[in-house]
Amino acid sequence: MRLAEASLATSYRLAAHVLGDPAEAEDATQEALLLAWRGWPLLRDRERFGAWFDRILVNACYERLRRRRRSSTVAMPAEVGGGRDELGASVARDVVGRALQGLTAEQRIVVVLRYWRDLPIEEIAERLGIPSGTVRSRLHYALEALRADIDRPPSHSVEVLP
Amino acid sequence: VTDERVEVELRAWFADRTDGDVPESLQRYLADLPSVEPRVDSVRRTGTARPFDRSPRDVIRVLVAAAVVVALAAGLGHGLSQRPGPSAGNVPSSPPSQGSMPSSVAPSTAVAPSPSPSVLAGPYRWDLVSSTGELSTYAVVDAIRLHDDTYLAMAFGQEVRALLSQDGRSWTIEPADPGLLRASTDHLSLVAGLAEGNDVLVAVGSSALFDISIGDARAWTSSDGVRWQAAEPSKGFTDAAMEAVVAGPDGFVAVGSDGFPGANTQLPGAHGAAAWTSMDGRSWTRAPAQASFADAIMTGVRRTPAGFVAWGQTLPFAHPGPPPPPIWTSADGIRWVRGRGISDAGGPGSPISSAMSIGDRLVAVGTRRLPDALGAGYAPGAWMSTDGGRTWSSAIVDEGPGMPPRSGGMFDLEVDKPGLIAVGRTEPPTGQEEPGSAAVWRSSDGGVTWVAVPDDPSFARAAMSRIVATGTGFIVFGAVDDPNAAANVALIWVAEKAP
Repeated sequence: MRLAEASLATSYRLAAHVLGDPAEAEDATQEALLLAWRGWPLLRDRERFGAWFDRILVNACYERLRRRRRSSTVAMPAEVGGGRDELGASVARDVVGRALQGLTAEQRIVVVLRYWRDLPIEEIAERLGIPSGTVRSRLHYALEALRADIDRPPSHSVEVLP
Repeated sequence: VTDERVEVELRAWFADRTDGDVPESLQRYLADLPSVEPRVDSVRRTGTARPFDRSPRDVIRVLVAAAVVVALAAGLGHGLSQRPGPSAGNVPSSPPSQGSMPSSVAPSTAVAPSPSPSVLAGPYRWDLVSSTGELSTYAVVDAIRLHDDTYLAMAFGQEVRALLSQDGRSWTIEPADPGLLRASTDHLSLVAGLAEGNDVLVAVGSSALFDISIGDARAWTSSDGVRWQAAEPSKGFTDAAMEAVVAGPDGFVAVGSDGFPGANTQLPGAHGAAAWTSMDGRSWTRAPAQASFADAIMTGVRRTPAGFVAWGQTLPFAHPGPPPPPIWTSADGIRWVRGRGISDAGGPGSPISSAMSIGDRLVAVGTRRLPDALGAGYAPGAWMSTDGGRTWSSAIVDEGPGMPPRSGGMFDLEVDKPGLIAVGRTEPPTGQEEPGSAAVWRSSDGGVTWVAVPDDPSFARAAMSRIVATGTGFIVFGAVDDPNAAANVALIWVAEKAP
């Protein structure tokens, strides 16, 4: 767990960026720490702890985003985020922050890993357990969605947010 | 705006967001982690999964995990810490001390639905034959009707035990069998499937480290269901789990996962599906890895006129879009072909839970993903194939009155001559953690349309996970389904055709 200690700040911020909610980020990080602690014997190549832990953490975040999306019974303009996105709420007028909220869980995760963590496509693919082509296409669609959102006049979009 | 411009903006936006210092509580959690009792936590985690995430596998896992705690407290777990660990934090209203004390796992009459006077539900009279007593602490993981019309079940309580019954109503818990239990130090035997063929009984499962984190596939044979003998050690058992077994024309076929799936619903240790064949149940050969095994695990298998059908669930995060449905067919149990054509099943929350052949078609049941327009929840689902399992299409399931429909899943199915019967659970579509209700559906047109059978009072706060035909009716196995229940209680119903 020394390894986890070293990267705790990075891990927590990764969760915070993906989830857009500090409380949820803390929960997800805790959950991932517990899973990692329990799954430690399964990790064969311990040099690769960082990538392995990222993957567990991203999975925990993804599950949360999925549940959040599912528990919302009202169709919302933003697929993730909803009204609970505190970090997002504080930057509601921020074009990029607002656009990020509109991404799907899958897109948001690759965007955070690529542009915040600065990971190469191959490392993102490894962390998510998906082919790198899939990472590329998710990024492509995410950028397309972001661009469309950023192009839109902000006043209009702010009004449709719940 | 160009893509490059968006990239620049994104990097700048992230660089600006320096807020988000690590909360102290998280640092404390990490420091305390080595003292957390993982076995206790695994019970609570699985036990409080969102109800509509629950599959029959989860229902059983909750009971098995609870039983593991009992076993550990009973003597295996020296120095078991009674101090509750720090909260995993993801469950605001965890059930009162579930799993933290062995006593809370013991059956409590307060949470078990009291055996109700039988009423007619559909054409059947439903009798809850077990909801209290020692039997209710054993989760039935599989049950079969034997050639002499008696019944054998494998259950997990303090450890794996065989249950025998002449009539499905009264069950004897056989003494713990050393042949079945024998495992290496700190390991537990977990049985998942049973089959009978060629005068031999076969059980399959795994041998897992005490916290169910890592393990290997295992198989056992028996002539009487009471005394068991481990199969020959095999290289093909390493880091895998057998989930189900069936007797075929040339021996047995077992299916499961490559990589041990582990106790939590995210299946962190599973890499893909796996299959094994054996002539006699004693010596097993693993089928070669193949493309159709990728991204999913197999959790069940049945015989069909053309060979075998297997089903399961897709691994979390395996696919960006809808994954190919986790249903396979095989002529020999060695080469498996994955089905296609369904987009609302597969994926972590929507497993295929059972399948069988009827007439010239295959029918599968499970949990389907609702369209986003309906709140993107999960609902009972049924599918069929008229080309031997290559392509599948949706059947029509009666979801009862109200919108959005009740969520839930269909977990097992059987022949109900001349049609089919399926069992599972439903719950109000509120998305809250509310008790579920056992549910039964019947199809009289070969699985094309499914009609819900009216609720029996004994269905309240329960889930049904396994159904076995008796000739005059059915035996159904399940569990109490209530996020607020203080204990996990296994339930057994007998359904007889009403006169």
